[in-house]
Amino acid sequence: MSPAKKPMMTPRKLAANRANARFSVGPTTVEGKERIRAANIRHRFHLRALLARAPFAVRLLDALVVLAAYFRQNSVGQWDVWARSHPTAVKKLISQPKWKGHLASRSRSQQKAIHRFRLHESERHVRAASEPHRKSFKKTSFIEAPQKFSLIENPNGTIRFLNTIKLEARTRNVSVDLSKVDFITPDAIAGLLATIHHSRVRPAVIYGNCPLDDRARDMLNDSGFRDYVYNPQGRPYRPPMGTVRRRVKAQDVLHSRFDQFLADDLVEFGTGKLYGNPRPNGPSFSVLCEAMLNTFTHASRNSESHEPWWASVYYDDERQRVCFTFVDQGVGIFQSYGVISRLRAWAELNIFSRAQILERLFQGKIPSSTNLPGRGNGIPGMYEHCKTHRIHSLVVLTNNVLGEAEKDRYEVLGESFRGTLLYWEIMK
Amino acid sequence: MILQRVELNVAKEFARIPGPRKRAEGEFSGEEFLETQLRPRFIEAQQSGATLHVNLDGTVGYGTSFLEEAFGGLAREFGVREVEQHLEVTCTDEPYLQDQIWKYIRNANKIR
Repeated sequence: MSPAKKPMMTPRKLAANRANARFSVGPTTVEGKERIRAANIRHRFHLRALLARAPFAVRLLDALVVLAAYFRQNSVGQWDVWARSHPTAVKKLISQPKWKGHLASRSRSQQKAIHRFRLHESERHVRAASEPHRKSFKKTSFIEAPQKFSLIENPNGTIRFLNTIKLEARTRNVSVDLSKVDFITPDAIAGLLATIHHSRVRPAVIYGNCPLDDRARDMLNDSGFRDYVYNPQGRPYRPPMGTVRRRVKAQDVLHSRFDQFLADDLVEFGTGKLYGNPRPNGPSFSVLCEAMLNTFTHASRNSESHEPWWASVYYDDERQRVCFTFVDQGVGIFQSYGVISRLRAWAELNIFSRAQILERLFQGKIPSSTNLPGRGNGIPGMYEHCKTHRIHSLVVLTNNVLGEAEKDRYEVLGESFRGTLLYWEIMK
Repeated sequence: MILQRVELNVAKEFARIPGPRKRAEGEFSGEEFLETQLRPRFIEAQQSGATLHVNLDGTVGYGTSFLEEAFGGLAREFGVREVEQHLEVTCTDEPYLQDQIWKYIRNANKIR
């Protein structure tokens, strides 16, 4: 450590130094002049710039550099001469166990690095081949949710909102504004999740906010919705009143398309909230199973692909009811494979409207599209559960038709929902 | 020895959480139940002149497709009259299932 105290560079001292520097004329001593000359030729560029107009001088400079390199090589080569004259010393040095261990260790780590690199490269190629390159969108659309956010209570407004998200997400990012929502139902939450995740297949980023209304916000936060969206870090939340499950195309294992264990989990979650302890509920289990099977067999335009679906359960503490929702992102009953020709003919010939067709479907008056004996019991079975009060408020929303089994009310809507939504409730 | 009654408990001998209609659709299907449990027991009951008693209690519930494939399938194979003679179904958890099953048996060959 230097005994002299290092001067503190205050703004005043800095200004004084700069003023003194103006009077400087550079080094005056011989050593100083040599030093500054050496500084100029250290990397030749300044000198080359000065000698740009003298090509002969540049060639001379290059020749000097080559000469310097030759001398450097020769001086390094001295070790080779020494090694040749002392072979045992070199052999002894490189044959020592410490040196051998070092070489072996270096070789192993090099092999590992090569292996890691090759693995990474092969994974990168696989990823690149399987995933098409997606460009992210720059523009964002702001879409406001209807005040009454419910597919059952406000089907037209809510379907229009969900369809707008899908449409906008094709070309830009979407900001969903839920702030003005003051009434929300679990079916709309499941529908929103299905829509968001359907649109996420594209490069669109979908984000949004929460309702300002306390009750609507609590329902959204407690429904299990937040398990499927990115949340702010450190945000404390738990889904005590509801849970959401899904099957998506990514998990394209046919056996996982029908999952009775998942149906049982959902039912037990709901009954656990309703009765205080989980217990089976046969009708709800049956409806969930049939909904899954219908999606498995009918939700696609052709018989091979299988559409993703979402199932949710929510315990409405205020009404003391458990609300089940099942949404598939298929083509809907009226566009379904097999059903399409017959139903379309009826609708086009004005024999029955779509609302009447849905009513007849509930009542079991429409034959199964499979033309096999014993089929076509699924939807009539749900209707029977509702009519005998084993389940309540059964609603089917498919394409542009909404059917309420309990009230026997069937309505053709102005907006068309892509897929099929089933909603029902159970109570004590 | 002539048996008077052959017992089959679905929850204990097959699955507490029954599955879909066909094997291809998932585990513990109606088709699997028919092939591994119901048909062998029914044949056993039929050959010994006994009644097959199927107890549906203890499960979490049944999909209509599962029941139709199992019991409707039995009726399609052995005939409605034969099944009516040798089959007995009980379910105290969900009594309406008994009526449903008999409906599936009677409509087994009907294309709706």
